[in-house]
Amino acid sequence: MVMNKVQTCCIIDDDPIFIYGTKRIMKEIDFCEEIIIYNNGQEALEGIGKISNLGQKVPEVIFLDLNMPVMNGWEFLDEITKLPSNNLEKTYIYIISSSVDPRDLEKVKNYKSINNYILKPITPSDLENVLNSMTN
Amino acid sequence: MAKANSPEDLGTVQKALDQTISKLIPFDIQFRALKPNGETIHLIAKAKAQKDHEGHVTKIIGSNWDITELKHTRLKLERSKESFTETFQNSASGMAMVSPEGKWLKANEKLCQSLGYSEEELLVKTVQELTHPEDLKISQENINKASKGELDSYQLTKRYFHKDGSIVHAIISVTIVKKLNGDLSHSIAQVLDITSRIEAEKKLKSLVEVTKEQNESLLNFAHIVSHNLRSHSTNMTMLTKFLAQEKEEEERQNLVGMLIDASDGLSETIYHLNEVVQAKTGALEKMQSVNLLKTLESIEKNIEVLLLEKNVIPIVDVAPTHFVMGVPAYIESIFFNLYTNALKYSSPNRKLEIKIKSQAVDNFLKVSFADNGLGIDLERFGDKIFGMYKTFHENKDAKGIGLFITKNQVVSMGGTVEVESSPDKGATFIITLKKA
Repeated sequence: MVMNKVQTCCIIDDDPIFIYGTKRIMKEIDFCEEIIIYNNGQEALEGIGKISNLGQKVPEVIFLDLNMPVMNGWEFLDEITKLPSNNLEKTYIYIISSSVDPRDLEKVKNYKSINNYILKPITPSDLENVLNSMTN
Repeated sequence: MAKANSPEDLGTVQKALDQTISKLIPFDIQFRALKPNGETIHLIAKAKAQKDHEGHVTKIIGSNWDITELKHTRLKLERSKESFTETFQNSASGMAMVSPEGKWLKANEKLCQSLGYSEEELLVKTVQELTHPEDLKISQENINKASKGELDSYQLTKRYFHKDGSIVHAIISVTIVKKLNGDLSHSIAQVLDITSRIEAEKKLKSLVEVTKEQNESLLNFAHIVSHNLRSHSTNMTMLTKFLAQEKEEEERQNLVGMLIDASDGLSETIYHLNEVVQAKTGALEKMQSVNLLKTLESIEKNIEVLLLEKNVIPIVDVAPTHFVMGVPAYIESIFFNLYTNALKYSSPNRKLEIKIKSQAVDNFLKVSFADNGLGIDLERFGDKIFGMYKTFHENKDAKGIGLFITKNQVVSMGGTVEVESSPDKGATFIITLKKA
């Protein structure tokens, strides 16, 4: 089965080991052309805002951690929708967290912009599922 | 003449009769008589002797009144009075007689005990004076209804003021006593003092509240534990999988390095969680008197090098006589944390200043710890500032554990911690602890 490759994907996480691992798995299954890394919500908000303002193409997929310093995942979601031209309508946003707190899982349902919740550790089949759902 | 029913009464009758006949003394006696059906009745007999012209008593004219009913009623009244007085005085619940205007007319010992007044003191007061203002209305409404004849009795829960000013909770049952013309004569109130029960209920409620809070914080803690342990363990799972597949030696070394980091992180997390558990338990048993100034001085000595590095001399305005009740290790840890935070988050644009001041307020010491550093955006982070693993600056050393532990330590010693801050102006932490 041939799956379409993602052009640009973005990882927002403060854990270097997780970033290393995710990058490695992405390479393994040839997930995307380009990976952008932000270490917290604030950095991502500024970075994606800049891309969007310059009229460049925003990432097609965002993997977002919940617990991060300065600005956490929830705050990022609230803030990004406030950006006037965020161009994120077509972006797939996935929460990737090690939280098994039912309150977090419940909260996910309140965000229409979230496509799914992936529990860490991320696996090759998680990424394949992402590609599949994008192709459909 | 009715027949007397006992030898004793017979004697009385005979004696009176003799005197009436012989000395013409009017016959006027009370005696018990026996009716033909065997029933005893009480009689008043009045009679006079009549003489003929020769001076001989020829007959005695008089009449008998049956006063049995009256006798019985009087007896009942006597008994009822006796038993009322006895009940009134010895009742286990408070009792009072109250005039329609609310004057205490009589109060029993138990009521005096409950309200803290002697009966004498109470009788110059009114019910209204001793009633809690919030309960006056309902009290008055019932009295009004009773005086209009709409109520014969009523029951309500109300509060009185004890002589010492404390509140007395009571359930009162009031019975209305009317005059013959139907007007209100007085009321009889039974006052059941339920203060201790209410106090116990309050205590129970606050205990339930504390338990609820502790449960919530335990649940939170459990989630934090699972999240923080999981994030390390998932990393380790991932890295070991990579390591198993990796052939290139250089990359293997890289992976091993990361595995070591992950396992160090796990140990550190476990250490922090353990510290939190310690701060949450058993503080009260280790409380003792701690000198604030001495503690601050010893911490300053420990971080002398760091203070020199930033070229800062803390201004400490703490009286040497200020002692707090606390766990020495916690007090040290709290101020150590505040010092290192101030040093870590100082502004690159100005010289760091640290001011510590203590002030006695009632039974507490209020210690303010102020710096002129980066500050914290309280509008954005206000509710999270003392949260676990919350960090607010892009500082690699930030763990988000210091203020969380600080807060737990302060709270476990029965104190409070507050923060005032504006971004890029500085932060002031105000810690309130019990005076020793």
